[in-house]
Amino acid sequence: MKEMVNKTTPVDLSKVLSQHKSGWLALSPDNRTLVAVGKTLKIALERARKLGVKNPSLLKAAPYQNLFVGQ
Amino acid sequence: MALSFPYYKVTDFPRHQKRERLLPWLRFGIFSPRDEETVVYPLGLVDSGSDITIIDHEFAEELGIDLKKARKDQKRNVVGVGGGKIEICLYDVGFIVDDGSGTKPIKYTDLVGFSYTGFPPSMPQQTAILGTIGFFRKLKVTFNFPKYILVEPLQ
Repeated sequence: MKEMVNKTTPVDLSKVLSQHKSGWLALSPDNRTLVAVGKTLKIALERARKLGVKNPSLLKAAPYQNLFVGQ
Repeated sequence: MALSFPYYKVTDFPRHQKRERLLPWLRFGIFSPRDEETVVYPLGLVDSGSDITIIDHEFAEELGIDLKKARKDQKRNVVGVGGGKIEICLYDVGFIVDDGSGTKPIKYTDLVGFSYTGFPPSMPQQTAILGTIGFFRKLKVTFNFPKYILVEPLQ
């Protein structure tokens, strides 16, 4: 199989997730930029669309230890 | 041709020591078969250890799916999620898997479980968990850690 080289750079969400411990995050479609936040998914989505991002990725923020311990 | 997706870097500080991790998260689209125009895009954890795909209930609301109207046979309990338990409601939804490269997206329909409430805090991801039903039984997934994840239609 031909080696893929275009998607080898990890998307670094460390900074975004360290600054938001709750609520919903709307990210650009490539997930590299935080577009909007909201207490609910609907609010985050509406805010992103008002800023011109029609189809943002949606991620629920949570405290780090709850996200990643025990995997 | 396979679609290619990156890993996601996150940092936490267990015992005040910086720890970087690369996680297999993936953006995917979901829509109700009754309304293919309304699509939302969760960023979920690709988890081959999960029997079923579980998605937060707020996505159902956004797709116009009323979980309160679910039939009794649509309701299930899922155990083992981060050591916890969650009640879900089964629905057929449409999936769009697209890496944004211009390669033809993969579209299919399969069952998912929408949670009735938020995920238990012990779960490794709070948005969506992509498991066998809803993801792996439809797709060939190749993990090339730490570079990328390849996704193809299952032959």
